[in-house]
Amino acid sequence: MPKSLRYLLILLSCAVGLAVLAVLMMNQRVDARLARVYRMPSETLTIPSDPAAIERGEHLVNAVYLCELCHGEDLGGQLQFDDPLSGQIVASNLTAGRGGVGDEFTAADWERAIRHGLGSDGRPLIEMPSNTFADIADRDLGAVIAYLRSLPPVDRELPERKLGLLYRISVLLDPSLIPAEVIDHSAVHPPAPASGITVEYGRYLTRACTICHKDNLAGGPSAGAGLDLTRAGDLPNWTEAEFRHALRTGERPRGADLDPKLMPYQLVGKMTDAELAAIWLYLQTLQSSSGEG
Amino acid sequence: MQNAALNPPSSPARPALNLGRLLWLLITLTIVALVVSGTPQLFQRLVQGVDERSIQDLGWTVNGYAGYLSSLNLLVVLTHLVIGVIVFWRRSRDPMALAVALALVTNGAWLPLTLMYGQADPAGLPLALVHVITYVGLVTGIGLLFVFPDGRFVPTWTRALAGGWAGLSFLAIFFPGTPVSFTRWGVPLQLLVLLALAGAGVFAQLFRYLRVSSPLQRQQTKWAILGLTLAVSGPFGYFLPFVIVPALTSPEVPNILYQRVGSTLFTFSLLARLTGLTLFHLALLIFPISFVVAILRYRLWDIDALINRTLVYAALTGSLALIYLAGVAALGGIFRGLTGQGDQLAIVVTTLAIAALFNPLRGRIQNGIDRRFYRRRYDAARALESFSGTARDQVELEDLSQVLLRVVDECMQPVQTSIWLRGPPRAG
Repeated sequence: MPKSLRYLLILLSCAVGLAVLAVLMMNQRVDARLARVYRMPSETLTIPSDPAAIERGEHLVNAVYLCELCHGEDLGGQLQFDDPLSGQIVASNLTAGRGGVGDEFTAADWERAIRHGLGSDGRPLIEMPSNTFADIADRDLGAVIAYLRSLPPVDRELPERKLGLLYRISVLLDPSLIPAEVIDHSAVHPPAPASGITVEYGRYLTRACTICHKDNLAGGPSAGAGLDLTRAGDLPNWTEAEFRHALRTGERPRGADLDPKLMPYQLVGKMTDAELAAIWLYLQTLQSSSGEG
Repeated sequence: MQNAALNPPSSPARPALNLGRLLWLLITLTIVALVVSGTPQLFQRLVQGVDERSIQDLGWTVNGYAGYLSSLNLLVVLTHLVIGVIVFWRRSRDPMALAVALALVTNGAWLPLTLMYGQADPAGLPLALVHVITYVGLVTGIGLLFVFPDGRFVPTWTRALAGGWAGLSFLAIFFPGTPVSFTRWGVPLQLLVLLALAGAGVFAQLFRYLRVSSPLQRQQTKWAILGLTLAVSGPFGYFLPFVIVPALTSPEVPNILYQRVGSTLFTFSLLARLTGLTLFHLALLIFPISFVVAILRYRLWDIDALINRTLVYAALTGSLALIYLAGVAALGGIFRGLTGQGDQLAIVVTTLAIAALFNPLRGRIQNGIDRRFYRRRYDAARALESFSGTARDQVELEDLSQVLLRVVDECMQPVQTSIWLRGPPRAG
């Protein structure tokens, strides 16, 4: 065998060996992070059972927190992504049907999952955007849980979550993919701002919006990311009525209509006029990400 | 080399051979028709089955992505078809060549056709035809391992294996719902059967190569055997696609998940799938290419001249097309930058360049192929060229004779060489 070929083979073998070693180390590191058990102080959350609270919970789940985008229209869960290299991303069945968690979750379990990003065993969930929902007020969380408990059971057994190579790399690169690691679990949960057309209430209602529009609501560079909702975007050219109309119908005052696959206006549009007005008011206060405006 | 080396011991009766040739023609024409009508459908499926956000994040277009994968698919079909057609055209009276031609066209077509028609109406004619082609492909691909190159089952027990495989495949493809169907056996058992079959096929060829084949047959068939051995991956690809064939499409994830997890995961996933599909398609080409090497290098079936021409002109066409496209794009950009508009000028200049390049490029490609596959002919041509130069300058008969002997020795490599020179006419 020529010398150069022999060296090349040795080099390749070393590279493959190193790659295998790196993958093994990465697996071990991610598995260790996901196996960590978080001990939460038991909170005394009151779960209401009156119809008004359940109705409020339904409104929050469907129009404000947009749970059905991941958990499916019937909240019976779904396999969201399945790829040998990336793994299986699964959104749980939230009902009390076969394969669902509704029957076994206590109030504390629900609270751990929604606010802290933890499973009932105290181990981190990775698909649940709990860092977005960590500051839900007790009253609203109680209403959400009351509604989830009232859901008609859906029998749907889903596969286990599987982390593929690419997903593990993503988890290493972006700590927020394990929300439990970035949430301040000891934080006190302030009461919800009073319902009304106020900037504070508007900010409170836009928590789910930050997933696509990002924390500063200035949008993001990737395809499908939310539009820039700050003064640097197109919103200063809209009126409040146009804003409300767009969120209800998907029709923008100028340009192409909103794409329902990217912007779930059919869900957000279920917010009340007062809620949309509060959001509009809040958006008026946003500076552009560069501080202009 | 003599080509009778690969002739089977006895040829089948003429009607059977004619029937085989007719069958080949029918199957090949069906493949062409199905590919022509199925390619636009596949393109549409690819356009709809890809996450547009990942494509945009990579800076590509959906049409470009779908066009690339459709072209890969066509490349596989066309490469198999061209080699299969040439083998059939020149050697269809040789039953083994006919079987290889059938294996080539069907094995090149079944995967692309399955991708094209996999979601077609189960009761429709196109899918039924795809099933027939797939069946013939899977059976001939494995069967050839047991009978190539002389048509006899070696070792003889492989006859039972081939028969068993034909029966298993028949039930699995045409009656997948029946309890005895191979598709209902469970993955571990399927894997075991396929591995055993592939192992037996490879063993049969090795056994034949080491114990049965003559040195000449070994020379002629070693490349073809490589291709046939790789063809055993076909059944794995059909019955256990998740093991080796990356998914062609993937469900679109909700935007909220896409944004939350970040685009990197999904773009990498798309890139990995695309790389896997590209490598898989390229691996499929090893089957026909190994036959091309066997034909060109060792004159299998003595059809190397035609294959040579095909190879030269295919490479020439491909190179000129690439040069044309790159030229139009590059010159168009330059002319637009200089004059504001220049597409027409770029096309004219590139076309002229292509016309000027045609002959030199053809010569170079021909030379390259000769050098690679016809070393002797290439060396002989160079020796003769050198000799003609020497002959012009050499005046001494003795020296010229020595040079001539050396050239003949180099070119022909005879056992013995001698020259008889006619003496001067005797006076009186």
